[in-house]
Amino acid sequence: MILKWGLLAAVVAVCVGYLVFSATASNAQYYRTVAELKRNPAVGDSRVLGTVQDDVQRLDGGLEVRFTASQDGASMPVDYRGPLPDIFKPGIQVVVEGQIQTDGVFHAKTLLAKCPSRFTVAPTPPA
Amino acid sequence: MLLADLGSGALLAALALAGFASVVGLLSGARNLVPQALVARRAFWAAAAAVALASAALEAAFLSHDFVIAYVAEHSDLATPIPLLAAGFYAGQEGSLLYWTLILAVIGGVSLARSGGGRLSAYATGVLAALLTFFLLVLVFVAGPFQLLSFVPADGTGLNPLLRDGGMLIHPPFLLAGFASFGVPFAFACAGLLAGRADAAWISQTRRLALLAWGLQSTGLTLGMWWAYHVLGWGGYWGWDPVENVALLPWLVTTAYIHSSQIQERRGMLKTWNHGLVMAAFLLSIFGTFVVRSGVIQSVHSFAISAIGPWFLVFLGIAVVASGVLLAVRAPLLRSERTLESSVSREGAFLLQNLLFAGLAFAVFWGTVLPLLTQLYNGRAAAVGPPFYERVTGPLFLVLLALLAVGPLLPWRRAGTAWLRTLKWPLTAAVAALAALLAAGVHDLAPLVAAPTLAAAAATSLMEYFKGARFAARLPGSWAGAALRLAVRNRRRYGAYLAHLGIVVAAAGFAGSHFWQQERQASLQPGQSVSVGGYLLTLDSVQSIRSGPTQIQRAVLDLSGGDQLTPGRTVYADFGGQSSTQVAIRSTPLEDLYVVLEDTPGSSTAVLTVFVNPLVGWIWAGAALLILGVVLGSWPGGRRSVEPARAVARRPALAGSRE
Repeated sequence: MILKWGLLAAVVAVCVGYLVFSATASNAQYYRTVAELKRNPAVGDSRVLGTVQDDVQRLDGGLEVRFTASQDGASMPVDYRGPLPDIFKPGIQVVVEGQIQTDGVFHAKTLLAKCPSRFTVAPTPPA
Repeated sequence: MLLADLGSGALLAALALAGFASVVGLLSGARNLVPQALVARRAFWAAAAAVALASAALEAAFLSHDFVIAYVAEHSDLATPIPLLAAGFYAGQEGSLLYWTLILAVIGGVSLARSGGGRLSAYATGVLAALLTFFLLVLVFVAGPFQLLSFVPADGTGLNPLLRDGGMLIHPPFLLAGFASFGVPFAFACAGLLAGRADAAWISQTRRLALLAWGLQSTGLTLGMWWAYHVLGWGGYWGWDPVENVALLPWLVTTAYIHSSQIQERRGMLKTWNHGLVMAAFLLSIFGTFVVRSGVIQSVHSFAISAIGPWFLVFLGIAVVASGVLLAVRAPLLRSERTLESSVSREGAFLLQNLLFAGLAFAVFWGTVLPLLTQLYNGRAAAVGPPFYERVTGPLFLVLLALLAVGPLLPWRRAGTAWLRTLKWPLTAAVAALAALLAAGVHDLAPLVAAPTLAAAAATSLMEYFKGARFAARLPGSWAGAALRLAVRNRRRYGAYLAHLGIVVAAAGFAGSHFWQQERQASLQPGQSVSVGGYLLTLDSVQSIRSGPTQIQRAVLDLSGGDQLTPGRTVYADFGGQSSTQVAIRSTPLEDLYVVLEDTPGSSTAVLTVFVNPLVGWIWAGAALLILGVVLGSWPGGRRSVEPARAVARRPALAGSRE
């Protein structure tokens, strides 16, 4: 009887294990730093965390955005086409997924805004 | 000053009382001391009262604009409308911790009052008080909601724009209450093990508490999806972000438990597994809080990353070890009274359902902690996105839906061949759905598999109601009255089938919006049009309105057929230029037209993202059915009647319908 339960559990475990393993292998992306990516751009898709600089340009009637992302002194141009998060603006941190293409620009397939670490701003003392 | 003193004083008193209740409760359980157990319970109630007093003080501070309290100044201002002012209570970390503590104290206090006496109750008091002590330690020493500023600001800084929404009034309270309430079944599971009792009384008590927590979490998750969809403006409702995943984990585990507990109730099997599930649900809710608050995993959501992370990690470590040791030591007590007679039986279906939910929980957990694991393993973090979760959970959810069509028809113990005849209605529904899709010209494999499965599951859930209605027709008196009495008397069964139906309807919504969502971006000048999925939208004008520090932009769009849609965007100068979007949604039962104003360059152009989201309304309807089912099924009081079960049992073909 224990065998019967165990057999069922083993079958489910193998199936789930296979699904998890294969999906991880095909979907996992490493976080890379901007500096690493500039040294070695041909590594396939990566996730990069960077701070949006002041040079945000909207192209194609606002459908496309181009900006410089910086991290620890290294920076790279990023191009992204698609809906932007509400809080997107110079100074915030973004996580972009994509790769540096032959034009030397990081073409992002997705752009996620890292929200500010707090939902609040500090109160100011009365003047 | 007064409110701050009152609040922090009450928290200190609560900490002392909870610590006392914990020690006395555990001791009186160990030595079976009846009068002392009552003292412990009263101390717990007093601690709960003190937590309630502290909460009232914080609420009063918000309503009276007591800006000297830093937390009040950071989460409200003079202009905040009263409902949102009241919601400021749980808008930040310190307040939401206090809210969590309050829920744990109240639900814990009520369940102790109903738990009767004895060692089980004494131990439950001790464990609940220990949990309460932990939260109060954090509230008193690390994240105090009553910390004072060194000056009194003239005005607060206001609630973050993203939180200025009606959803703020309902989503966080339910989700946090769900998280907090997993602690109560956990405490009773520990108490059962400590007292050496894992009998029927234990299971009915724990099951009810787990169902309550599950219902709260279901509501919280639904409201979270609703909020994300209506407020955040990205066209979706679930993004598989770590913060969402950790809220889903205890829900998945408890979904398994509320099914497997029935095997223990009826057949005395799976006791260790059930205890493990109840404990895992609570440990996962603590794990979730740790992940969210410590910043160890990158998330899109913004939460205060703060000093409470290590405290939760230590607490989690202690709780995991204590639960594991307790389960191991008491293993002999949890031996099954019976064995599985046949895999093709109700027990077998429940077991498979449990394994699948455990598999789902494992997959979601794996995806969430992968950055941590890879960082530890090779010093470099890797992450997975939505495609990972879709690929893993899709097939598992599909098998679960198939099980929803077959499982409820299976009889307990051992299925013969008679039950196979009951499959005819689900099979008919599946074939009809397949034919309809093929006739409509759908050729993708995924919908062709998903829709018939859904139809079969819906047929099985509805069949129970038809059978009930037919039975009621044979009872004396009016049919409606008899049907109502039947439903009320067998509320647990009918509640469960209502919840199943809700899951099916919501699953249809998830599948429809996943497979058939259409999206298009367009940059329009007045007079120009964009067409998406049969809708033609023409830009009439772009409006700009300034009011104080906020700037509102609106695009007026004419929809072919006469309607007007006005998506907007508000820019808050006082929040560093942060903007929030006002999505325009036109809902029909079959699809939503969902328009987001992304930008207005040159103040006459409108950059729009237009989505057509099929069947999204079904998600909300399905969730409403599910929650209604939970409320019906867990409504207290009354004796359960066995009339219809006996009646159907006489007909062998329908024997499988017995709960």
